[in-house]
Amino acid sequence: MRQTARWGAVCAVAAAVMAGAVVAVAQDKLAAIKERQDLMERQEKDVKAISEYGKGTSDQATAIEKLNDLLAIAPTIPDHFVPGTSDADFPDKTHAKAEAWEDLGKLKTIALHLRQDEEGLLATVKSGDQQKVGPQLIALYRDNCTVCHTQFRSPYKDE
Amino acid sequence: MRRAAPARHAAAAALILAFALAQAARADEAAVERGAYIFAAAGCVSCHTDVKHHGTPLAGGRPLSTPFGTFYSPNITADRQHGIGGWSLADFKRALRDGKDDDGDFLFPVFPYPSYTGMTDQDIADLYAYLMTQPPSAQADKPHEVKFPFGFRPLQRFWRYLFFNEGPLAAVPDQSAEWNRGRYLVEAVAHCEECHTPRNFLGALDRSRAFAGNPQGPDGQKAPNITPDPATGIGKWSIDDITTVLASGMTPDFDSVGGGMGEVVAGTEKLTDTDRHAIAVYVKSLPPLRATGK
Repeated sequence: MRQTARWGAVCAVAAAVMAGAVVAVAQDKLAAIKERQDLMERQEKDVKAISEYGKGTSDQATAIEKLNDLLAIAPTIPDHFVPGTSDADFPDKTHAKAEAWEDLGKLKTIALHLRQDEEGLLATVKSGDQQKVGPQLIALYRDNCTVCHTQFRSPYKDE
Repeated sequence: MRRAAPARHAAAAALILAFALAQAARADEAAVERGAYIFAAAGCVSCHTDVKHHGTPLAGGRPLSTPFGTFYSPNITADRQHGIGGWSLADFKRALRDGKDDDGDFLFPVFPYPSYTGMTDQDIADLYAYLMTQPPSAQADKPHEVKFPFGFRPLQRFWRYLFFNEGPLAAVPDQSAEWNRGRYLVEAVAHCEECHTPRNFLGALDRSRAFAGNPQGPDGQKAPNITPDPATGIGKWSIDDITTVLASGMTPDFDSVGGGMGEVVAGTEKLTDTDRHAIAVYVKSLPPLRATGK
């Protein structure tokens, strides 16, 4: 009887440890999702400031600062696609489609292209030619953000 | 000298023939170019390409999930056996204008002929000219997986009687040319209603709620309300906001559209600024409707 009770205790501890490990892994993944979403929102805010400079309602120094932030973010985007954090794993938490992981090469290519376009935009902002900022920003969105979201993001905000 | 006359006549005839052929070739090139534009506006490539599985452009095979079952888009490349390479212009026009294939069988309205019927003969001919220049693919069509009894094509006769009005779209005389152009692009060529208007239990567009959003859009995606309702539609968007979305996918809050609308933008980005502006003018003129089912 005593040995059976001991085995029971061992099993209970093991189960608790395993459950704890599963919860910890899930929490890590949820944290990774949150980080990815925060990163996207940060980029939106940066773009807003750059757009305002193009419209003459914000200053050049802020636009340059925000572009440098975007340039720092772009190469890290693929790293935020942590395995096991797609909408197939957490349907209520993320819209990142599993396809992104199936075609990670394309995601990396888009991130590289995004950085190149951001470099071009930075040159324009530094030149002070505000008229060109809006059209260039639109092209940057079209060729990078929309391309990525079309293939790798599931319907979001009533799309 | 007399002998030289027939030679001169022959030379003149050859010149006239060469000139006529050159003119015809130029006309064909112009039609193909115009057709490429209509092709972009109509977004044909989205449905007729199985992008997810890296399919050949326009070779079909993309699954389109609906409440009536799953339809697979057909091959519309110029392949004579598996595509529409064997179709005449009249066959092609009948498909778009009247929703019937080259054998006269009814097409399912998952192919948006209730919208395409509004297109002009010229645009249909140009689109045909363009498609015939596209590389053929010998990919066979996949059979649709439609629930009983909806797969029985003759039933379409009743559906058409109830819900189909043959075009082309007539201009509204008391509206501007720009508004009419926008309406033509939105309602006929770009077939925006097909996603943004809710459907009744038989899958027909509920035109009383045109553009008010569709909770059961293509592939189960929610298509938003694009009427100028400030609370649930795009009433707070300016004309420029709409043209920017159509040109780039960038929304006024600096997000970008994705999914089905991203595919639409891949076409509308190729339109002229004038046409995007016309679309925006028309969309802004729609009666504001409050979305339901949100």
